[in-house]
Amino acid sequence: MALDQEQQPGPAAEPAASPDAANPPPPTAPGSQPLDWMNDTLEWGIRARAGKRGLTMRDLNLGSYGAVPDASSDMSRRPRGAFPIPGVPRTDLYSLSAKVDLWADNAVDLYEEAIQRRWMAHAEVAWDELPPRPYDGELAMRQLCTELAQQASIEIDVIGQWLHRMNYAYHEVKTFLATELFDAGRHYSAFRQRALLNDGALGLESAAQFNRRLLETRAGWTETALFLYVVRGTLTLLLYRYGEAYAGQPAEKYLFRRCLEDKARHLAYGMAHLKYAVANQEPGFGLGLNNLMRGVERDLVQDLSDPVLWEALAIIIGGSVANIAAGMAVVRNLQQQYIEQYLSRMQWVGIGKTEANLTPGLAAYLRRPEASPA
Amino acid sequence: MSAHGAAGSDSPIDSVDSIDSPIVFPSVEWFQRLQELVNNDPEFRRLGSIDAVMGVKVGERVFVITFEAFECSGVKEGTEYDLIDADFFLEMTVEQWRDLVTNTRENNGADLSHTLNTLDLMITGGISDNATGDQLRADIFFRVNQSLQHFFDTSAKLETVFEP
Repeated sequence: MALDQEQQPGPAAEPAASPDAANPPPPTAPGSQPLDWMNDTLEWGIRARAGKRGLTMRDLNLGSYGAVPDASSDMSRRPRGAFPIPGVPRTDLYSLSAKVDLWADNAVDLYEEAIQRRWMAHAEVAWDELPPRPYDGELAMRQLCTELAQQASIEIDVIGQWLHRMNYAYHEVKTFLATELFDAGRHYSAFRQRALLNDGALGLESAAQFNRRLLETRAGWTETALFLYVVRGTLTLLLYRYGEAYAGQPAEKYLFRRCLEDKARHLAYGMAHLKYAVANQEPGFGLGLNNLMRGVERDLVQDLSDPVLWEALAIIIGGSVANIAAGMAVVRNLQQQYIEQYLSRMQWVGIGKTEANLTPGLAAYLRRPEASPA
Repeated sequence: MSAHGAAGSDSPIDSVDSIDSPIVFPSVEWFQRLQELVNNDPEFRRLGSIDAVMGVKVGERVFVITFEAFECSGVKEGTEYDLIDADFFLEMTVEQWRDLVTNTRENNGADLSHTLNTLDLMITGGISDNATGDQLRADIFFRVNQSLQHFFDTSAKLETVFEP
């Protein structure tokens, strides 16, 4: 259904101009005319009921208020289902006004999950129970946290520059992405806190090729989502997981664990959207995404060849510079897992990415001796 | 000290205060006892809603634990076939489960090397998977990881005995 149709009372809507006992006539202002605007609605009779999770966005998706249009030409910012007023000028020119360009069926529930599982890094992480590691280990942790903070800050900018282009007909997606922005802000802040703790300092900025791809992609949100979630998000989730596994203190473990929860939720939207887009766009869309990845993968190879992040991780895992070789063996497992998961996630969303059409520089990570446990 | 005290320091169990009599692991009763404890635990609720069907495979035995909204809503013993319907399942040998439960009891919650995510990375092949290869459902293990950790950490309150 097009949103234009939704601007008129739909067939499922109860008559707006037939007040009954439940919906009495509008009040009249003292000495004035009846307050006619109180009669203006697209649909009466919505009876949302709170469930075990409280009154959720899904609970409110009833009648026309829950009708998600395939496309919308509405360029206002009215909440979906609000009564349209003739003559209101456009407030934006949304470039993402088709459902296929941004939708994910799970967005409505992921929004609630994000809200209900929110946490506060400044208060919940026991920062005062985080003594510094030995000097080399502390420097390595600061470097890891610096890179994670940068990944989060880029996520903020990437989503921020697409969010305002998304039509309000899809408020499930817009509100979910708003939570992701908030999560990314929290991650940025939390990893800076960890880096600067204990008379600390920030480390080096990250390699930049893939960051530029993320920030400068103009093809569409779906293409950006492919980069942000399947390529970058898969790596970030792994880094959080290894951060949790090799945390030196319970408080550090808690920090990484809450962040990995958030990141996995972000991936759930990204993957569901990509699967939806590949299934519902024109035939060949998935092939196009696969072809698009050739250049992206070359950038990724270049970034992955930068040793700083891997050396820092190897020191954290090994426990010291003296044990960096042992740590690097685990890092190689992480790198292999990353490429394996990149392939499996691409295939899950319907993009035919295989080792055979993977850029050789990435395929090389798969051809190492059988990985041992981390 | 963090505002939420033990939660932030990753030691969610206030104190080891054994409940009732020794109880056998693995058993439906053992998981039901955990279910009762977390459903009466404000900290578990504070962590947020959790919607997941989790399989637990202990050697050859299978248990199905259902979480809904803010509570653990179901515990039952099942079969391998039930794992197909689970969002994810945790699989370890009897000895590995015994090690986890013992470690949790001794440390008032899993120590640094026994958290669920750590075990998933450290044990060959991992411990968490989706039976049908559904990546989206497999990832629920990560999305609600803190609640799952709290659930198993709560077993520190149980006086567990193991099958011979």
